[in-house]
Amino acid sequence: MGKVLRKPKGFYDIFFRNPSPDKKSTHYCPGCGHGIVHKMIAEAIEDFGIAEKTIWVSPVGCSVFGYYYFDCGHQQAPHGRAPAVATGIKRAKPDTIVISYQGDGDLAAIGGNEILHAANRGEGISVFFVNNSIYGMTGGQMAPTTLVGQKTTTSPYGRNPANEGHPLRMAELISQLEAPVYVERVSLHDTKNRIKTRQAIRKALQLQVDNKGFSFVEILSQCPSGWKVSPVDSLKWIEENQLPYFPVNVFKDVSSEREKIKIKEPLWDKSKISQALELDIESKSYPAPKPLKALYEEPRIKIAGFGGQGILMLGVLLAEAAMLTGKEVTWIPSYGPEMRGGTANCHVVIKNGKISNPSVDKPDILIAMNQPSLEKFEKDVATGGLIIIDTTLVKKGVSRKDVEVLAKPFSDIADKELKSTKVTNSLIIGALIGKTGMLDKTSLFDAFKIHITKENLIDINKKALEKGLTLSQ
Amino acid sequence: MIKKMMHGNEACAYGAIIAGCRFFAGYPITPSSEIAEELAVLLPQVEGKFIQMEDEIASMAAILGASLNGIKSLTATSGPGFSLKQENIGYACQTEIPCVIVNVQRGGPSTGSPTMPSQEDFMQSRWGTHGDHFIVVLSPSSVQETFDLTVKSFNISEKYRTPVILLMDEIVGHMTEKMILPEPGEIEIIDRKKPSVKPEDFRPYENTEDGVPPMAAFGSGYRHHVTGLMHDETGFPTNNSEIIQKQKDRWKKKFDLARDTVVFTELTDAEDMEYLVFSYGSSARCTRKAVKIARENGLKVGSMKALTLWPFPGKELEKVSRGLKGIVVAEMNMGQAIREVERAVGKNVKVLGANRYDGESMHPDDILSVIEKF
Ligand SMILES: Cc1ncc(C[n+]2csc(CCOP(=O)(O)OP(=O)(O)O)c2C)c(N)n1
Ligand code: SF4
Ligand SMILES: [Mg+2]
Repeated sequence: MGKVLRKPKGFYDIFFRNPSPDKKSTHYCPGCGHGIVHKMIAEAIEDFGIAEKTIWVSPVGCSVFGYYYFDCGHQQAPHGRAPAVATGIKRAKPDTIVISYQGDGDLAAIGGNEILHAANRGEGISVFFVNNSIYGMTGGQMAPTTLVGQKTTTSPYGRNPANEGHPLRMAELISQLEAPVYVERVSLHDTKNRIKTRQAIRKALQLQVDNKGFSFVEILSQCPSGWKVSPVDSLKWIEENQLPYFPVNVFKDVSSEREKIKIKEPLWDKSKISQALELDIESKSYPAPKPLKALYEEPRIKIAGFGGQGILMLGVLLAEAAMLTGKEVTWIPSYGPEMRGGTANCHVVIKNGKISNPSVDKPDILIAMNQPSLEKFEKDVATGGLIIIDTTLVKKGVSRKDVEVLAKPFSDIADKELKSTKVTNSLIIGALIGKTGMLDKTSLFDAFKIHITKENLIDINKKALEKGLTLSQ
Repeated sequence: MIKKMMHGNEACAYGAIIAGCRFFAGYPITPSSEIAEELAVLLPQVEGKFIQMEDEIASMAAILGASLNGIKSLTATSGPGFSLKQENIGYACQTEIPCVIVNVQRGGPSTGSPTMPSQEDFMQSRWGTHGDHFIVVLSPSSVQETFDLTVKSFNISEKYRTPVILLMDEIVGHMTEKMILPEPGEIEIIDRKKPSVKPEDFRPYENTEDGVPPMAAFGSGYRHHVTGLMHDETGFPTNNSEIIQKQKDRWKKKFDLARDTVVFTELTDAEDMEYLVFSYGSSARCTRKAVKIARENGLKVGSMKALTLWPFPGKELEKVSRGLKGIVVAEMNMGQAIREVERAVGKNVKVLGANRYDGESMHPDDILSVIEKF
């Protein structure tokens, strides 16, 4: 058991959470580097007076038991996910000090994606990366940082770059990103380097206290058990094996150029929230629709055509307008494998009372904007119902005799008279409400305001709707 | 035949080599790591490939690629890793890629109890990935069975083009026992069926009589496309609901036809039994002991051990359950297989669970005390 002498205040006096009978020592093997790094961080936490607001995110690895030692807040993340968990903690409360403490398997293998993206986003956390070139906790398997030729239980013939690739130099990699503010590699193999390690740890924490952004300290650390050497020899092992491949260096330090990150508090003001959610809009009443047939009082509508023809929007606008008028409505889209170019259709149900089935198998009104849609759905329309077709695209007309038909070259008219085929659907809406009396145009104009995001297009759509009203016979 | 002492995880690695597995991709995790460690030694000796991947998502993806190239493939993991593999297990189901996934269970959820025995993944092994799908799950209760069922897992996966899950538990994985190792050639090894038609006529998801389409390795002259989207017989994506239903109905047909050839159970002390203990994995070992003690005390108790967990051996169980006074389902979880047992035997027989979920292994008393409740 590695004894920790003169405990810094960042540590508990007695490691009461450790299930071992010895509450004074760490759970690490004799000579393990983790304990030394812990002590340096604990001292910094004490000296900076930040214990109250420090949250220690433990990895899965030998250091999973960080909560035995540090007298601060803790979360232990699933394997590799510490930087993502830390992101959530830090973003939710930016004035906390968040430490992501990770091993090399945790950080560079399973968590490779998480560390890369947390660093790239420049999360304001401090990452302490303990590189011991091995999976300590699981019993000495190969790590992404295992050295070429190094034998482990899963590289029993020695790491072979042709099979396992080369060891990952994480500090160098992270330092290539724009966002990180400080990236350094340090080592524990002798006193001089331990002093540097201590300074690097303090610098990373100071930068977080100063709100400067993401910092990353890689620490070459001994794992006598995993390497199968004595604690004394393990220091030499770092020097002879790790150091030549993993040089100690400051790879990036832009702390003096970086502005402090501004922290914004969440908004709790009720009126501002109402404003954001548009809850402050006054409700309005509309002229009651005058449906020309009982069928149009509570119509079930299917609209079908090509993706990109505005089929779905047509349905949304009808549903929105009906809703504004006080009806119950449902709208469901259905498309082919591609959102654009393929076939699309949507179902709209408008009712005075609750709607049970939102899917429209037998429409009262079918709007068919291409030939295949008419052919597919014509047979389903209810007797006495209405079929609207765009004859620019639907050449073969409706063959059924027991339904009403409104057939106009809508696309042509939109193109020639309104100079845009994009408003074909508003043209059809005009014709539809002119023909059925199912909705009043004022409710549709308001629906335009809600759903047409480009404001300059609202007028032309209104114009198209007015024009459509004249095409209803 | 050779007698050897080994532990369950080692037996699994040996079984894989004998079954013809030449590719392993994995990520270390207790209590399954020895399977990887053993294969790291063995696979290179038979010119197989061993890769330690960056995580379990990638490990599972890698074995799919290897299997598509015609090489029998394996991965091994435990709880947290098993969860990560689910994405690509679903892919294997959708695309019918033969492969074997070993899960040496630990207590969960999440990191849970890494070093303690558990059987908490009974349901996850069947329903871990999303969507309707079929899968075969085998579960050994001894080192010998681990070897045998590893070979069977590969055979089933190859014969029926399906992922197979070998659901072990920590006790079986780490227990050392004597076992009999057949020499190569001494046991049946099944390889996937290959197409015999001309390449231009090849339909990789054809509705064959047995529901199993022949499978061509990439680069074998048969060009085809593999996708996680729902696809038609040619392997290309479709949104045609009629075809989607047909493909799924074929899956069902395939598994209905396979059912009796992949369900293995062992019935003991059944002639005069009034009570039955149903169990699997290491709990089945403890069950044998419990039955012995019960019989010494004059209780007529028999046992059924399920070696196949999914498809669930409900039919086999129902047949022997008629007239029984009670069934005990012994498992190291809060009651998972018991739901299936109840479904199988209906209301006619009373079913009680003997459950252990504190990280300790099952004890005969856990079972005997439940029998007393009938
Ligand atoms: C998803 C998942 N896969 C695997 C594991 C098993 N596991 C626990 S610790 C560990 C490796 C830890 O090695 P490293 O990060 O280098 O830390 P060290 O113990 O060397 O400090 C692994 C693979 C796990 N807990 N979860
Ligand atoms: S296995 Fe290695 S890293 Fe883990 S405690 Fe022991 S020496 Fe430290
Ligand atoms: Mg390590």
